[in-house]
Amino acid sequence: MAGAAETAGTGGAASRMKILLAVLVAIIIVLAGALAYVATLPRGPTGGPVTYLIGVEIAITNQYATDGPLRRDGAYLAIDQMNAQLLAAGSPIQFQRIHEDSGGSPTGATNSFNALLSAGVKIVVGPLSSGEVNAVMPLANANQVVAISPSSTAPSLAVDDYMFRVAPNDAFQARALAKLLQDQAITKVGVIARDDDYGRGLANLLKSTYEAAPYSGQVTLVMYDPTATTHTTEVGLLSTAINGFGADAQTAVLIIAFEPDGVDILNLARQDTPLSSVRWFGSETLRRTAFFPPTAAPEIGQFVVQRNLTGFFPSAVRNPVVVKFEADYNAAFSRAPSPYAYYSYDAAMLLMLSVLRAGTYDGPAVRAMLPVVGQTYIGASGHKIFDQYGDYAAADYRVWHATFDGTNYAFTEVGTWFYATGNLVWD
Amino acid sequence: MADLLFLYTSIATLFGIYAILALSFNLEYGYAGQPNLGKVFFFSIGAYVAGILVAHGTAALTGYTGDLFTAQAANARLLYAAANPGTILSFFIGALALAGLVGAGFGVLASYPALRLRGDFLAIVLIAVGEVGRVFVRVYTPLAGGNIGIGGVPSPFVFLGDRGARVAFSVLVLLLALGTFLFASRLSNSPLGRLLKSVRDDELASNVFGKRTPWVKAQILAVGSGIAAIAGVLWAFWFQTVAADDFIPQLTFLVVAMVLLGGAGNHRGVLVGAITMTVLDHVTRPSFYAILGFEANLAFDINYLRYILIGLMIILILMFRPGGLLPEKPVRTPALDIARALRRPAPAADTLQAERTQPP
Repeated sequence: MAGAAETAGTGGAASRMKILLAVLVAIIIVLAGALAYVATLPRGPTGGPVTYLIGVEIAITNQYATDGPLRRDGAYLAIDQMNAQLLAAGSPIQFQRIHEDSGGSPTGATNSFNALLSAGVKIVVGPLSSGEVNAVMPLANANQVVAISPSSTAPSLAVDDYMFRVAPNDAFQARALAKLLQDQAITKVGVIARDDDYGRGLANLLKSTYEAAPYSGQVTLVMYDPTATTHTTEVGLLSTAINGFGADAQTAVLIIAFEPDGVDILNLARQDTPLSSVRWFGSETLRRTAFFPPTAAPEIGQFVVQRNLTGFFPSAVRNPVVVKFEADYNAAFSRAPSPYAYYSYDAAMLLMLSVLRAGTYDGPAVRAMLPVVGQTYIGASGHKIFDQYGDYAAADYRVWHATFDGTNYAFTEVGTWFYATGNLVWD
Repeated sequence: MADLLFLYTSIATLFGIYAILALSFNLEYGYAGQPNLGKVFFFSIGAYVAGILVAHGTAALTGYTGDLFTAQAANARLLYAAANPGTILSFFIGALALAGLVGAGFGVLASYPALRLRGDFLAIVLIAVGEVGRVFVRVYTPLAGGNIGIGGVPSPFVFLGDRGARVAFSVLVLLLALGTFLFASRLSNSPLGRLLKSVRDDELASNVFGKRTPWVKAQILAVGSGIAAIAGVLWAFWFQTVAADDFIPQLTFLVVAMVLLGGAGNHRGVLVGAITMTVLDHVTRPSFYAILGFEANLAFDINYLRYILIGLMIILILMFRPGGLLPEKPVRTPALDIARALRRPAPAADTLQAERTQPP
C-alpha cells in the first residue's frame, strides 16, 4: 500500500508540475503573440503624421551619471527643434525619440542597441565611448542601422561602416597638447590617465608625439582603473614621478579623467607638495563645471585655478550658431550645455537632415547621404566634414584655462590651435 | 516597424545565460553554502577562452600578424567567419569544452581559501580574486586586448545569416540551460547533493560522520566554476565582444539577486528568478513602450524608473517572501517519499479496493 501511495504522491506532484508548466508556456505564447499583434498595428490615423524613430543611446548612469544627461539633452534639443520646424513648414514628418541608457559598458550598449533594433529604429545618436562603439559596430553593420557617436575618439575604430563619429580623433588633441606644452616651456610631463580606450589612447599618443622631435620632452604615464573609487596609489606614483622630474617650472601634470575620478585625483593632488607646486594641464574632458564649486569642493576649485589648469576642446570659434545653441539649450533645460552636448546636438541634426534629404527612412540611403549633408553642415561644434571612414575629418581646438573672478568660476577661452597649420594662436 | 525577433532572441539568450550562471551559483551557495562572490571571474574565464581562441586562432590560420584588437581586425574576423563557417563552429565547440575545463581548474584553486575561511570572509576573498583577474587581463594587453578587449567574435551559426544565426543561437542557449538544469537537479538529489547540504548546515557534523568536507568544497566549486565558464563562452559569442569592463562585481550581484529572488536551494526557483529579472529588464525599457505604441516623453527620464522598479520589486519580495518566490524544499529521496505517503490520510474504501485488485 505504501508503494502505491508513494506512486500516487509522486505522480500527483509530477502532474501538478506538468499542468503548471503547460499553463506557463501557454501564457508566454499568448503574451508573445499579443505583443507581435500590437507591434504590427498601424500608428496614428491614415494620412496623418509620418513618424520616424530616432534612437538616443546615451549613458546616463555609472561614469556618465553627471555628464550623460547633459549630452542626452543636446540630442533632445535637436529633435524638438527639428519637429517644430517641420510642423511650422507643414510637413507631415515628425521624429520620435527613444532614449536607452547603455550604462556606459560594452554589453550594456549592445543590449540597448538590440532594444532599439526591436523597436524598428534605423538611426541612432550614440553610443558615447569607444568601448561601446566597438561593441555595437557589428550590430549596426549587420542590420544597416546608421549610428553617430558624439564622443568616441579612439583612432583604432576608424573603419568604413555604419558607425560615424562627429568628435575628432584623439591624434589631433595629442598634437595640440604637444604644441601647447612646448609653447609653455614645459619639458617634463607626468600624465595620469584613465586606463580605458580613451585615456590610454590619448596618453600614448601624447607620449609618442612629445618624446619625438621636435619636442624631445620626457613623459611618464600613470594609468588608473576607471572603475576604481579611490586613487591614492596612483596619485602617490604621480607625485614620485613629478618629484623625480624636479617639480620645477619646466615640469607639469596632464590629467586625463572624467568627473568622479578626476575630482578624487584633484582632491588628493592638492594635498601633495610636489603636485601642488607644478603647472596642470587637462584633457578636453576636464572642461566641465563638475570640477568647480558648488559641484566640487571649494578647495578643488581653488586648486585648479591656482595651478592654472589649461586644456583644449574641439569646438568652433564662437559664432552665431554656437550662441543660438547655447541660448536655446539654456532656455529648454535651465542649465548650460556641457562640451559634448554640442556634439550630440549635431549628431542628431545630421541624422535627421540625412533622412529628410534621402527622402526615405532607410539605413543604406541615410548612410550614403550623411557625408553629403556633412559637407555643407555647420553646427554647434563646427563643420562636419567626414573622412573616408565616416569620422570627423579634422578640427581646430580652442584653448581654455580655469579662472575665478571673485564670484564665479569659468573656463575662459584664450586661443586656438589650427589643425591645418599646427600653429597655436592666442586671442 | 517593430522587429520582435531582436526582443525575443535577446530575452531567450540572456535568460539562458543567466539561468546557467545562476544555477552554478545555486549549487555552490544554495546547496553547499559557499558564497562564491567571485562568480564573475569564472564567468569571464569562459568569455576570454572564447575570445582568445577565436582571435589568436583565426590569426594563426590566416597568417595575420597585425594588431588583433583593432576594429579592422575584428571586421576581418567576421569576414573570415562568413567564408569559413565550419572553422568558427569548431572554435565554438572547442571553446565550450576548454572553458569548462579551465573554469573547473580555477574552481579547484578557489577552494583553497574556502578551507580556512567561511561566510563573509570567503565571499570577500573571492570578490578580490575576481577583481585581480579582471585587472590583470585589462593591463596585460597582448593576451586579450587590454582595456579595448576583443571584438569580432562571430556567431557560430554565421552560415544561417544574421537573423537565422540569432534564432539558432538562442535555441542552443536555451537547450544548454535546460541541460544544466537537469544536471543540477540530478546532482542535488543525489547522495552528493545531500552531502552538500550537510556541509552547508553543519560542516563540523559532516566531518564527525567521516565526510571529507574540503574535497566536497573543491568538487562543487569545480563544477560550479566550470558551468559558469561555459556561460561565459555563450556570452562572448552572443555579444561578439569580450571587454574587461563587463566583468565587474555587479554582474555577480545580479546573479545573486536572481538566486535570492527565485529561492536559494531550489533550482526551479532560480529559473524563475532568472526569467523574472531578464524579462523585467526588457519590458521596462523605453524601446518596449515604443513597440506598444507609447511615446514615453515624460518629465523625468524613464530609464531611471526602470532601475527603481526592479530594485523595489526585489526589496518587496525579500521582505514578504525571504525564502524567495519558490523556497527551498527537502531533497527528494525514496525515504522522503515513503515518509510523506505514510503521513497522508487513509485512502478511501474504493481506492483500497482498486489497490487490492492490482497485480502484486
